Amino acid sequence: MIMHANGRDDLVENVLSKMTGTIVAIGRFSRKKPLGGLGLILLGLIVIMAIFSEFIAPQDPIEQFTRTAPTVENPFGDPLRLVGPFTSVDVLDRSTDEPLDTKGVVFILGTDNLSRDLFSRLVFGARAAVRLSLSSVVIGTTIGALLGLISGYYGGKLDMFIQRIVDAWMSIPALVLSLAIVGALGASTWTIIFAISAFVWPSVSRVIRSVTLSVKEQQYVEAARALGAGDIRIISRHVLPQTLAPFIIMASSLVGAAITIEAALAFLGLGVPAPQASWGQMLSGQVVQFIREQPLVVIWPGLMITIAVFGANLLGDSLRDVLDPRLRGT
Amino acid sequence: MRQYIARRLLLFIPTLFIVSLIIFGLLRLGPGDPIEQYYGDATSGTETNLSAKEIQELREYLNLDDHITVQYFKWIGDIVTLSPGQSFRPPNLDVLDEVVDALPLTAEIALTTIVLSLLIAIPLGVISAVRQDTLIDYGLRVFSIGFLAMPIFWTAILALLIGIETANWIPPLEYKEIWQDPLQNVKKLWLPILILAINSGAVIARMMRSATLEVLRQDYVRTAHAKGLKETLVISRHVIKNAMLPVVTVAGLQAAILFSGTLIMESLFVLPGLGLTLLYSINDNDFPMVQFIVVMVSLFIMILNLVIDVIYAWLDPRIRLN
Repeated sequence: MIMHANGRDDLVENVLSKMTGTIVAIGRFSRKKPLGGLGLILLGLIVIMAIFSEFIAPQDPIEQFTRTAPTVENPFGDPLRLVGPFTSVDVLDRSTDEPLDTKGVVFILGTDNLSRDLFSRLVFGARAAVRLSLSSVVIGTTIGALLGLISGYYGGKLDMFIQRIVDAWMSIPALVLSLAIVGALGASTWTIIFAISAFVWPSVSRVIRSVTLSVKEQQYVEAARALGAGDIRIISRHVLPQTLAPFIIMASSLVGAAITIEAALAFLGLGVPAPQASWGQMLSGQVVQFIREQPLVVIWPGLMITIAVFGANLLGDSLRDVLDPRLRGT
Repeated sequence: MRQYIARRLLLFIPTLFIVSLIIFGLLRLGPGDPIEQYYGDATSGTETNLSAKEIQELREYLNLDDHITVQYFKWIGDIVTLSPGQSFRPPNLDVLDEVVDALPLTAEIALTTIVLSLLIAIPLGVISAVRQDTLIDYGLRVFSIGFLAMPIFWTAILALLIGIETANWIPPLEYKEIWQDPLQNVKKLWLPILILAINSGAVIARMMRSATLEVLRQDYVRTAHAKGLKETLVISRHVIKNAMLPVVTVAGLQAAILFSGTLIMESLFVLPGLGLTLLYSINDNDFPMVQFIVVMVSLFIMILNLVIDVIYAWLDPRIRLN
C-alpha cells in the first residue's frame, strides 16, 4: 500500500511540476507577446466550449421547440421560431406532447428559424469547428511533413515525383478540391477532415522539404554519415529536430485557415450532416431570409468564426515571431 | 528565358495528368451512381420514369459501362480535343457550351476584383508605410487583420443586413449580362465584387506595406533624398517600383485564391457563373462537368503562375531564371 502511495505521489508531483512548467512557459510567452496571449485566450475559450459543450449548452442543440400557447406575440404563428434573446417561452415536452412542467424555457440568445436554441447551437458549433479543423491540421501537417522530409532528403526521381504531385494538388483551388472531396465521398466527419487536410499538406511539404534540403548539406550531417550513421538515424536525430520549429509555425498558422474552410464547406451545404450544429451551416440556406426580423441569428455564428480565426491567427503570428530565428528579437 | 518558358510549359503535362487522375479518381471512388440519382434504378426497384432499355441506352451513351481505365482514357482524349461531351444532368447539355455560358460572369467578377483590389491596396500600403506608426498605419493594420479573420460570406451577409436596415436596399433578384442590361448587372455585382476586392486588397496592402518599409531603408532612397528630390518623387520613382516586386507574386496568388471567393459569392448572391455551376455539378455527381471545370481552372492557375514568374524576372533583372 505504502509503496503504491509513494509511486502515486511521485507521479502526481511529476505531473504537477510539468504542468507548472507549462503554465510558466505560457505566462512568459504571453508577457512577451501580449497579442499572442490574447489569441491563446480566445482560442482557449473556444476549445473549452468545444470540450464541455454538454455542460455549457442549456438546451439540446437539435431540439426543435414547440410552444404550448402563443403567450408572446409571434409574427410567425405557432411552431415557435425566431424568438428574441432572453425570452422565456412555455414549450411542449417532446416525448409526451404535454406542456413542460417548468416556468418555461429561457432562450439566452433566442432561437433560429427552426426554433432551436441559438446559444446551444453556437456552443456545439464550437465542437464541430475545433474537432474538424484541429484534427485536419494535425493529419495534414504530419503527412505534409513526412512527404517533405522524404522528398528533400532522398532527392532525385522520388523528389521529382512527389513535387509534381504537390504542384498538381496546389493548382486546384483549395475550396474546390475540398468541395469535390466532400461532394464525391459524402459529408461525414472523416471526409471533411480528409477534405481540409487535403488543402493543408502541400504547403507544409514544400516548407519542410526546403528546410531538409538545407539541413542535409550541413557538416554535422556529413560527420554523422562519416561515422556510419544510416538514413533513418540521420533523419530522426539530425534532420527532424531542425524541422520542428517550421513545423509548429506552419501548423499554428494553418489552424485559422482550416476553421475558415470548415465554415465555408458548411456554408455551401457540404459540412457536417444536417441537424448537427456548425457555425458555417448556421449562416447558410434560409437563415438569410430572416435577417430583417432577427439580425442576431446571422450575427452570432459569423462572430464566433471570426473570433476563432482571429485568435488562431494572432497565436500563429506570435509563435512564428518567437520560433523563427530570423525574426527573433524584432 | 525562352528555354525557361518552354521547360515550364513541358512541366504542365505531368502536372495536368496528375490533376486529371486526382479529380477522376476522387469522383469515381465515391459512392452514388449518377443515372440512379437522376432517373432512379429499375433493377433495385426504386421509382423510375425510364424503362430498363432506355437506361441501358443512356448508360452506353454516357460511356458509363466501360471499364474505369477505358473511361479515363476516353475522357483524356475528350479533354485534349476540347470536346468534354454531355453533362449527366438532364437534359444532358453540352459541357463546353455550359462552361462557355458561365465563364463571362466569373471572368467579369474576377477581373474587376483584381483591378479594384490593386487600386485600393497599393496606395494604402505605401501610405501606411511612409507614415509608419501613425493613425493611418494602425488603422490599416487593425482593419486588415480583423477583416481577414471574417469569413467572406459573413461579411457579405452583414453588408446585406446594413443595406436593408439603413437604405432598405437589396440586390436585384435577377442577373442580367452586362451587354443586356448594364445597370442591372452593376446593381447585382457591385457588392460581391467590392467585398472580394477588400478581402484580397487587405492581403496585398499588408504585403505592400512591408515591402515599402524595406525599400525605404535602402541606400539609394537615402541618396535620392540627399540629392534633394521631393518626397513624392522619391516615392513614385524609387520606392513604389521596387516595392511592387514581391507584391506581384502575392497578387498572383490572390488571383488563384479568388476563384474560391468567387464561388462563395456566386452561391450567396445566386450568380450563374462558373463557381455556382461547379457547386451544382458537385452536388449532382455530374462527373463530366466537375472534371472539365476543375481541369480548366487548374490549367488557368498554372498559366497564371508561369506568367507571374516571367513578369517577376522581367521586372527584376537581378533574378536569372535557371
